[in-house]
Amino acid sequence: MSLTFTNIVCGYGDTLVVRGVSGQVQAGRALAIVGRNGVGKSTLLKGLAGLLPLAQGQLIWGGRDITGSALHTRVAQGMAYTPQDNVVFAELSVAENLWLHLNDRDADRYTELFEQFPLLARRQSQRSGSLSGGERKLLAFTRTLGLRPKLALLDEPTEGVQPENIDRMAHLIRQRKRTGVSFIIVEQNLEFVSAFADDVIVLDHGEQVLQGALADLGRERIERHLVV
Amino acid sequence: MAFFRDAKPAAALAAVLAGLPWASNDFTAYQIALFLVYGMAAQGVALCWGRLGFLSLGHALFFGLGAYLSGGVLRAASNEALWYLLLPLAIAAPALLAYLIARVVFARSTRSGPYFSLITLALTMLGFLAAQQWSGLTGGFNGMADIPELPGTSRYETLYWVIAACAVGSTLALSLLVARPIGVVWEAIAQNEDRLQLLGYATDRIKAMAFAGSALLTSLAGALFAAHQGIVTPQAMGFVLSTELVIWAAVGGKASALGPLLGATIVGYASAELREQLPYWEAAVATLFIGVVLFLPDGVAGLMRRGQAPRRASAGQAKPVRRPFAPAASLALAEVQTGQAGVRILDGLSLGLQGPGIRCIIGPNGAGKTSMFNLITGRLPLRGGNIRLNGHDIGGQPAWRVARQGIGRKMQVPSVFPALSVRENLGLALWAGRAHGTDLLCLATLGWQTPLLTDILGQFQALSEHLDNPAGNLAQGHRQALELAMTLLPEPGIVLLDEPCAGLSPAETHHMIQAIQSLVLRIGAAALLIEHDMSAVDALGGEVYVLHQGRLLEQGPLAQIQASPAVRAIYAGGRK
Repeated sequence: MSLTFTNIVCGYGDTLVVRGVSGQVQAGRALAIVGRNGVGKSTLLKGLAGLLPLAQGQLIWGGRDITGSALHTRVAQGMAYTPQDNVVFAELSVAENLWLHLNDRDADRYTELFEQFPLLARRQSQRSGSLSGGERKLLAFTRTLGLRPKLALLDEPTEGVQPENIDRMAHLIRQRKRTGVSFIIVEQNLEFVSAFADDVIVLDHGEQVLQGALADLGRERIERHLVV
Repeated sequence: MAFFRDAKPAAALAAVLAGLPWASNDFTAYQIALFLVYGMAAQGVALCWGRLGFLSLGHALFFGLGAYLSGGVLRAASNEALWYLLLPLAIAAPALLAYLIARVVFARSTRSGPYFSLITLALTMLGFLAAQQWSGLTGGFNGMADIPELPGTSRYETLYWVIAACAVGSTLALSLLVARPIGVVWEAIAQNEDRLQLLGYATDRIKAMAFAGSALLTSLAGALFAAHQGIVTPQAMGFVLSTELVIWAAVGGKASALGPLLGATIVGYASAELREQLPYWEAAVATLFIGVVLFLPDGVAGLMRRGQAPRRASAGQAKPVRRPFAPAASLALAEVQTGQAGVRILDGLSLGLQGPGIRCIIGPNGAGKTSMFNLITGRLPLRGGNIRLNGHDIGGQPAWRVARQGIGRKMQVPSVFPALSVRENLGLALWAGRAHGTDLLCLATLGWQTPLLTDILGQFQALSEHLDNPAGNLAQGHRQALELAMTLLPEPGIVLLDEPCAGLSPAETHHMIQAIQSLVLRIGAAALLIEHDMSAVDALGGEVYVLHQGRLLEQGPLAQIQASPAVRAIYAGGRK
């Protein structure tokens, strides 16, 4: 299922942060949204997820207009969203975090994910609040993929995660892409972006200043827009 | 200029109250005086709830105590001199009790959640019971009657002016306090108490002082009530009045000095009118309360303030302030152990640093890096070993005490005061360790400067561009810069930085690393920095510590660490 977003304008109250951003992610592809801090990346992702109302713009997902639909409706239809922080329920155990939103107990859901992140498998009975920051990020990432979404929106999933685990995250994203899952990921780590992304949108001051296939744009061209 | 701006609500109140007896009659003035008394008591509740974020459900205890003690003094004092001596004591005694209660409760848990509210509720119920049972002193169920008038006043005429003057005075005092640095500290407690403790503020004591101040105001209202009514019954100390105080504060506006007076007057007047006309008038009052909570979260006063952003402005010259801590400290952890929820996190970790410079900590997720910082700053219990700062044992001390000894900490997820402006966030860090005595009550403190602050604002353009915007509106990376600035502004001898480059692009990481290097060098601190990005670790230079499973695995220059087979087996690191 492809998601096409056209002329997205959104922000907080009267302050419009994202101004006229358009793009598309097709089934089995991954779109990275990059840019300096404060340019509107997380705001755009919230707009695409339905967490922020759009002042303007249209979202077409799988041929259907979902512009006004709520996040929970989109999740029921196969969209998943992981915010940048506050990503786990600290008082619940790791296992409860992984299963509380699921109706089934299909053990296979997490088999492959646990192979990549065995520490989560070992710590299933541990309270999530006692995990380290990086481990919480891994838990949130695992939980999102455990939903078996058709489209996953991830906001800086690698923040605080050790490099070996970042490689495993990229591996899992590539693997899921092969099964038709799409990803839109806000990310600052260009090594990670290079490892998973097919397409890139570079934002600056809320507007897209560069867009295209990662292979065509090249890392240097993207980096030029990230200079402080 | 700032004084007149801050005094506007009190001036408006004074003008209305001065004209009221001329525009109405003595009975209306008498009735309004009672509403003002209740409003002042509600101002006490609003101070804690609307400013510091903890709700007292037992303020009637202090109202009733103030009323009984003052009523007793008025009845017992045989001459005016004795009256002048004893009445202030009668008003101050409930405040002292409030301070002791708050110190005991907040010393056990600094959290301001429902436990505190429930404890105050239990205390007011106890007070009600005591007032009923202790009939020899209180008059029991029938109350303490025949309380004489305040000397020099008449209950139905001139007492109005005393009450009006007190209401104007309390409104003025609250408005002025909120506009000063102490008002910023109060709001910061409500928003992020943990962060404030990491800056060295003893929040339990600040909350206890504020609670005592609010009880003093409520006790004064109780004393005026005794003089106004001439009788005090156990209801003046009961749960019902306690909840009414909360309702008046909510309806009028708990974040406003004037709001509780408005709330008590509106609800009081509406109740008096409805009582006559509606059989179920309580239901109408309840509906009013629910409506205000749902549609006017800032109360009636919030309607009047709509569109006007509250601003604090300094008065007088910006004062260059001295450095609070001595530079170049030493920190040593010896065989420390800690855990949480039955999980052992640090297991005999030993690590030391001495003198200025930046050292990096690396290691896999879950190695105990952040937990080590949590242990040093008193956020995790010390189960074994010891932690010494400049040779002194600091193990197990609370966060604010550790910070006061010169340890600054930046959190993994940037932790700021979201509803306060960037300027106020920086101010809180600047005042930490520097503000003494009455500094937090002076407007001039708002304009304090240090050369380091100027340097920081020069290095982080985004902060200087958004000085008057709420910190919560900043992007994650800019919040990283703000929290770094807040960590360094007290100029601590030891700086603990937890992934300051997380969420930053390679170029921003480069800029952040340069800023950290120059700023840490400038204050001459010994810094420990947790980082996964090896290019950042490389750029920072200095010693590298590798943590694994709660212990120190390796220590040395980066090249040596990267060549170590033991390290390579568990962690390779990466680059952005």
